[in-house]
Amino acid sequence: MSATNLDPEEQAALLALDALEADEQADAELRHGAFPAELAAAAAALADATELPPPAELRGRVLGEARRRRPPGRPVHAPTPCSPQEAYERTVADFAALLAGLEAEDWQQPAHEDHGTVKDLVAHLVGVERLSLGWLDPEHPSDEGVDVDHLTATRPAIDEFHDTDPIGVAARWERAAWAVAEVARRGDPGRPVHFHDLVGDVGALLVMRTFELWAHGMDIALATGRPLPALDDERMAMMSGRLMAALPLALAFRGTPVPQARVRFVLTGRAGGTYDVPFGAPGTQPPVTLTLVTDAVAICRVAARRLPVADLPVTADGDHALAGAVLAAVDAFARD
Amino acid sequence: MVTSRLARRTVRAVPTGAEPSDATLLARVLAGDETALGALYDRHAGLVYGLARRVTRDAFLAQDITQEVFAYFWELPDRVDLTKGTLRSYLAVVAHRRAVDEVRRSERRSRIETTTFTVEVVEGPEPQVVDAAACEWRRRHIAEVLAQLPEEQQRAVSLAYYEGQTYVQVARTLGIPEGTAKSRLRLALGRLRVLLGDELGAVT
Repeated sequence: MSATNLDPEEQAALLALDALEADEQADAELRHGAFPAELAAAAAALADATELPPPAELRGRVLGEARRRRPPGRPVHAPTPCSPQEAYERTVADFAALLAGLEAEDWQQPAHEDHGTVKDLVAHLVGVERLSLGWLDPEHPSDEGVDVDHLTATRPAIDEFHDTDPIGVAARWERAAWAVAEVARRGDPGRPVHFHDLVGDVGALLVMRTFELWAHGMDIALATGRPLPALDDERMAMMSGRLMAALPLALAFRGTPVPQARVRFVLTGRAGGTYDVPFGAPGTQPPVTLTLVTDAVAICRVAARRLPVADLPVTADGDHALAGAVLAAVDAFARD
Repeated sequence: MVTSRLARRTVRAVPTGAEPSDATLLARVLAGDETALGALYDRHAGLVYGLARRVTRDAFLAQDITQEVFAYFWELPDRVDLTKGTLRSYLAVVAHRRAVDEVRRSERRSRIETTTFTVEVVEGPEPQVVDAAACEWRRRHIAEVLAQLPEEQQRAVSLAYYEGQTYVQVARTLGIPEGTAKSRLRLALGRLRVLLGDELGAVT
């Protein structure tokens, strides 16, 4: 018998009950989908009458097989995190494209509480790129030095470009940004770099700069009525992973005392993942006392200070005082 | 102080003793959190195993099917669409389909071998039912709902769903025309849908 001879309603019901003949199955699935939702739910309710606890030893076998098929910790179809260098370069390109699309009136929109208009913000970034070049290249240190305040150190750049037309400022920023990328690419990416009040490596600086360009891209988008810039999954995966790795340092940086504890972060979304972050004495593996479930992009926005932590959708299961302390330190390394 | 303000205002705490919803656990599974898979196993393994055992009448096959259903779910959790139904329904559908496949594979094998194939029923001791009351309530509830169907519909649905028969086999077993078997099954499922009503859309 051909499935096309079946009445469609009858066919859907038989599909939901798995009562079709083998040669009718494919046609039915094509017509109704593999699981005709409502009817399948009605059929599945019948399963409740058969509930029976499985043998206790089956649990370990099931979890073992699951682990074999997909290693824990990474999301389904996990993107491969890109390198900090790649992330910075892609974000420079995105930011340049954003600037190229601005209209004349957009440049005069107020974009940032401290820096000023869109044009002032880009001038600020010229100053940041200059600082970054100095930090990356010890033979040509920045005049401002290392341990400088992010805002005041870039104020001279904003003043310098006060009378320059916006396109000229954008061009200066782009040249400076690519120069940073070029210097960063030379030599060992793990070489130590001292920037602001932090000591990291070239990668750490580029990650911070990627966060900053993304954050200022959001500022400009909001100021000019554009959609918020979205980074690709490879960048978000790298940034959220780096953020997780930096959290113990972030709490130490803030001087937040924390107990010996391990916090499980379950970051949802395509660039998410599961991270067990140890706090307290290094090298120890205390048990997980807190699980925080939140969105990977949202927590990165908190880290960039573009989402108040009070607005972060997060679920905490466990030590709530620790949850508050950890979340308060997420933006410890942001520099506006 | 910032910390205490955050603890008070921003963290949606899971109340002590409250279980995370299936939706939350699914999001965690998607992110690779295997403890969430463990929690979902603890919640729904009885459904999957019980159904597989009922359909296959084989405890070992039922264990294999349970393993396969949860491993498949862990491998491809993005197949679950909670806008279209509950996770529990999804797992039941996948378990049922695999159990039926096993039964029919066994039937084909027995036909090819032209020997009588006896499905082994292992009636060994079962572990204690952890949430026995909930299981019992659901069992009774479904039995009550089924009892509201005309007897011939109950029988047809029972053969198809619990014994994995096709409508052709149902017709043969009951000695009725195939067309009658088809319409009985359609009417039975439609009536069940009405009787179960809002319960079907509830996402736990």
